[in-house]
Amino acid sequence: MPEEEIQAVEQEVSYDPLTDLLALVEDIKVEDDSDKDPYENLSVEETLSQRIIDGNKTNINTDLQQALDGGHKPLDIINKFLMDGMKIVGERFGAGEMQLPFVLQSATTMKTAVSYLEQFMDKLEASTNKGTVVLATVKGDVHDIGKNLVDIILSNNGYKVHNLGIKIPVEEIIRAVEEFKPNLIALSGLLVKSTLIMKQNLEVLNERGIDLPIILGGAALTRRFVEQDCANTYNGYVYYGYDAFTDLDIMERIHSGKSFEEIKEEFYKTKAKESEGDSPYQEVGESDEDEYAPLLDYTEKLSETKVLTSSEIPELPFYGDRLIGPEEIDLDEMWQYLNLDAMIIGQWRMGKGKKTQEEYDKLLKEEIYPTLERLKKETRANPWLKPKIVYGYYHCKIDPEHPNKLNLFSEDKEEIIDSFTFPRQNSGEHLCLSDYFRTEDDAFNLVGFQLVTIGVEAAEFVQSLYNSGDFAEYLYYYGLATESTEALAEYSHARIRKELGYQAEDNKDDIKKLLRGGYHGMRYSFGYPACPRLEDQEKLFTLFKPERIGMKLSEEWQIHPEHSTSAIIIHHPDAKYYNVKVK
Amino acid sequence: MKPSLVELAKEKVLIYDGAMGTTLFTYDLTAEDYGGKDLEGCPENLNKTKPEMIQEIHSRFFEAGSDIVETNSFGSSRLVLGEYGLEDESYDISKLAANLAKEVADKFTAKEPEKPRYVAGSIGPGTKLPSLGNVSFDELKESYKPQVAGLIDGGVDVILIETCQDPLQIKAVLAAAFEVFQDIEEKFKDKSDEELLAAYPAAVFLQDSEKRAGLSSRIKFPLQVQITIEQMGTMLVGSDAFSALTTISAYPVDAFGMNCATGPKEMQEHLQSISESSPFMLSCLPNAGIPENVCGHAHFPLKPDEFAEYMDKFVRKYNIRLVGGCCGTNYEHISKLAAAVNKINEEKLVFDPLKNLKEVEDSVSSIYSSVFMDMETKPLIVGERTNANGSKKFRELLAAEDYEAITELAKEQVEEGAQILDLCAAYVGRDEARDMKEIISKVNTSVNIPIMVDSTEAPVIEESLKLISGKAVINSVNLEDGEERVELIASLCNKYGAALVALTIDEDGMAKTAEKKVAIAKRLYDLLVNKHGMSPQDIIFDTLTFTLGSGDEEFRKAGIETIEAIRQIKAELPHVKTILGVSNISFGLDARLRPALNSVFMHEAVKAGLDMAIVNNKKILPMHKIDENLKKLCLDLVYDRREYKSVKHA
Ligand code: B12
Repeated sequence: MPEEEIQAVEQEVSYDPLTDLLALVEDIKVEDDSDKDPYENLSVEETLSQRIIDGNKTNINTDLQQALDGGHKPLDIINKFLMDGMKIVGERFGAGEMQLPFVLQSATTMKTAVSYLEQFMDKLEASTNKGTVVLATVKGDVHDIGKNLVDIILSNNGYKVHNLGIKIPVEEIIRAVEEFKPNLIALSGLLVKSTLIMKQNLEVLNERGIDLPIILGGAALTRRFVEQDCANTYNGYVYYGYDAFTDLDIMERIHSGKSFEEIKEEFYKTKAKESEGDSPYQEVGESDEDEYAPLLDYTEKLSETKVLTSSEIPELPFYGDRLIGPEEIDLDEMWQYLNLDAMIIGQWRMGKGKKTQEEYDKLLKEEIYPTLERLKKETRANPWLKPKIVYGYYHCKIDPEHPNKLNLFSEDKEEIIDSFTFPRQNSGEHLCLSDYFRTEDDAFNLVGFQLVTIGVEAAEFVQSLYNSGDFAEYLYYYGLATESTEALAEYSHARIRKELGYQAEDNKDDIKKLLRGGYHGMRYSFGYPACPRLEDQEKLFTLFKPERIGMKLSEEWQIHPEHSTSAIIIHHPDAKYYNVKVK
Repeated sequence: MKPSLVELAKEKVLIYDGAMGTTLFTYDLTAEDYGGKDLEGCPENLNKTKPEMIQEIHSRFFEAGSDIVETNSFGSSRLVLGEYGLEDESYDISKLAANLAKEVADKFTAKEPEKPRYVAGSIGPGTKLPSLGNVSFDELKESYKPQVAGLIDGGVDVILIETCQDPLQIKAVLAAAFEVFQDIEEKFKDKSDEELLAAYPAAVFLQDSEKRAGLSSRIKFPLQVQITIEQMGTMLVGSDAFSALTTISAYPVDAFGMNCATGPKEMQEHLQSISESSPFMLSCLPNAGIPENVCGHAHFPLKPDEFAEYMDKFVRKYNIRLVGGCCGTNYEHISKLAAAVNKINEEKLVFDPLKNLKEVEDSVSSIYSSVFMDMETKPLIVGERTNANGSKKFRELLAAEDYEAITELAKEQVEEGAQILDLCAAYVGRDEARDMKEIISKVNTSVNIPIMVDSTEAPVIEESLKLISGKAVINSVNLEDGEERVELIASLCNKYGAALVALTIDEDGMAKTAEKKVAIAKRLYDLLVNKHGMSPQDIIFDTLTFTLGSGDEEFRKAGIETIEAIRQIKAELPHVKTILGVSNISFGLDARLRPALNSVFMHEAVKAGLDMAIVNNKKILPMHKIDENLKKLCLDLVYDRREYKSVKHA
């Protein structure tokens, strides 16, 4: 390049960063040489976050005390301000903007803060021991702050915790289990690798005949990995520890005499759509759909479901798909289908507990229902909830060669445009979803699908509550968001039944019964026991292009935003839920 | 001719024998049996005094279903035999032990050619731990050489380095073995392959791709390494199974596994952790449970059925190819085991080479633990405060010969986040080799991160490596003095199992442009990988940089060239890593400016693919701590974004 020559001849430097840098030297602050308060202009809350980011623990107690005096609860301080800082540390660490030595300083600051706050936390009298927990961070993992938080929260609530420490091999866990005979084993792990170690540990526990319930927590885990992969691996019950309170929640339920199965029911189902956090590790854990693979081809024995006559096949309301936007959906109409039990007891944790019926009714009337009304009102005024639906119908027929396979046809019924293959039970009634489409004289049948979401805004809104630290509100709205998604699915399904002419069969008087399937036909989501293969979502996405309503499919076939759900709609009158997995 | 043991093990699971030691006890041997009062308790001497008894034991294990028996040579090294005054018989006793076993094996093979029988030359750990300084590397290596040579000359099919309690001891046996292989090559250098094979049927001829500078170049013999994990979950000196695997993965061995100390149950966790990432075939020879003391006798609680049940499960689950028993396992254990394994072999579970190699191949290790070099959170921090060039404090301590304080300095760095420890004692007027030896013999066991030996002197490097128990990194090699030096350093890496930092310097000096840096890197890669047999994963390129502080026109683009070189090396040379001593970029500048410039430069380098940085964390800052204006100026300086205005000609 002649550039340099040109410079020499025609150009002269007008800006040289080196010159400017040298000129700047005198202005550069070297940290320790000022005794000015670096957090002068920040509120105490901001100061605390910033201190975590800076790894500055000098005199942090003063700021913590100030926050306490200002009316913040110790746990709120941790969960809001300190965790906020830690989150940023994690992001910067991941992006290479912050190196390990500084992260270490942040971690030390966090620990200092937590240990100062510990003395101010609500404690139960020391004499009670409501149950015992063995707690450890798994082998190869040094992260102990989250685990120690679990310890503190449980200990303060009257449980005895044996905190084994970090990098704990499974043998040591087993020894502790044998010695302390806990009610629950709690494991923490923040590295992706730790998730695999956890799974291996479960295998070893199986082999040693240990089947105590286990809770797995830490940022690298996902609910799906725990509730599917780990739960399928382990002989006992496995719960997903979303945060450091989940274990308390579970221990309280154990303490109140609930069976593990009951807890699982409440826990898996009611919280099934809880945010998985902003964890970038959604890809963790291979799925084990493969175990159904043989059942896809299992056709030795078919079920004896009723074959539909042509008069029993409704007419196609329209072919293909339709989109319904938020403006067409009346929130109150949708909320008719709200499952109040799931929300109040499951999400809001406001079950009857040990209260008398009278006391509980009073609570419902004076607190819970008014709260619900308030949330609804606020939502109507400030619609963070934006329900959207794509749904539609296709002609279909069972594949002549493969009774588990349902072919979908083009509008003129000439061409097969797609097909779904469902697993068949290899015991019991030998059911397979395709059986519900069998027709006399090989007539065409119809199948419906729906994809619904309450929008990305919902997650953002709920997250903003979390971030603002208003945990009670967070919990309420989170519950409402989750149950509204279900309600929207119900609403959409009701609309489909209406279009197919089955509305009369809806059990209108008893909404609880309706919600339990008190209507004609049935709705199945991919991932349910009868159609467990999540990859089928991909076909739905090809057919319905729900990207139009803001939905995306992750590599693991999970729908985003999280408050979304999809289903195949079957109009066969005998359609029911069943489990295809044979033990 | 029977198939080679290694090849056969890929097709079917092979069965080792049970315990030699505890079986001998059942014979109620007297001092006479051993060859006199002075030799009482020396099992190796029984090869001489009671050969028929040893052969009977071998026979009975073969009858019980073993494919392989171990020679009675666990303690036939010079050092161990020396405790009975038999040190000079090490070769003869080892060879005799091999001959006895081979005779029996051949008899069985002749009888049942469809089930060929093999002999493994057992080499035990001896009584001294080199990591603790009980014995020097060289003394240990010399002690093992006659043992290895005797076993090979006696016709064993595999060298079994077993019951290992210290990774450094394994390294010493391997070094001895490689020298023995070289001796055999030397002896046969004018002879044909056929002649060599006739003398050594177990010899394996090396493919070109298997040749490693510094090791034998024509043949090798199968090598199997087995560590012993104590009940506390580590080897006696504290290494966990995975770090031992990392250390051994730098060597050309054929099988890796565990034996002794505990029963199968306690081994499971460790088997699991190595089975997933081992580049080698896996072996497992547990005790019949953990011995209990019953009336003053060791009693092994695990019954043959239970033993076989565990092993059946492990073979299926962890893809184990070589199984057998250690202390407390007798003929019955082996016969039950054989029954289970035969069933498995009918199912034809073929060896499935392991999938998850990345983790072990991309790791280095200390005696205690391993460090993955391809972590998501880059860069990996190499602490430079124990470097005579980088730290005044270190130089002072060195001058005062305060090695304790130096060890403390090393520990401090770990606490501050260092993940690898750079050690450099090159300081004018001092004996570098001696200083390094003093420092490493302490740091090796008191600091739990891997060591980077920072020296350009081959003898210093070699003496250092003889003291390091883990898989170390050598810093560094370059082409300044031509290609021979590269071969010399590569040989050391191969012989002692180390990774290597290679600098982009050639005969013309330090490369300035990205183009030249990349060209040198490629030349070094070709030499190290293709010619000298190192694996690309173990090569770490340092693209070096010049200071931007001088304002010298010649070096204005130094930052750009270095960063660009990193980007191209990462893109064009698969699996290699990159490293940089970042603070050179700000050399000569005011101390107040340096941390900002270092950090900005490092951040840009990481974006381009930098894997490791040699830094003093006191001389860097997290990005958010740097004032925006300062950050911009630093970036502009790194990328030489000067601005110009046109001026009219005069
Ligand atoms: C602090 C920190 C460290 C500290 C840990 C100090 C300590 N004593 O704990 C140090 C510096 C030592 C460290 C080291 C490393 N770290 Co780090 N570290 C972090 C960081 C920034 C914060 C973790 C933390 O303490 N959070 C605060 C606590 C309170 O939150 P928590 O642990 O998530 O716990 C909450 C929940 O998860 C839950 N929970 C946790 N456990 C349990 C258990 C149960 C039973 C239940 C119910 C709930 C529960 O409850 C808690 C409260 O709600 C995270 C990033 C992040 N934001 O998560 C990275 C991070 C976890 N580290 C990471 C990495 C890579 C490492 C290193 C490998 C870095 C390296 N290059 O060497 C090493 C790991 C060494 C090892 N073998 O483990 C990665 C992991 C990525 C991955 N793919 O695996 C992360 C995500 C950073 C990143 N963005 O890349 N780290």
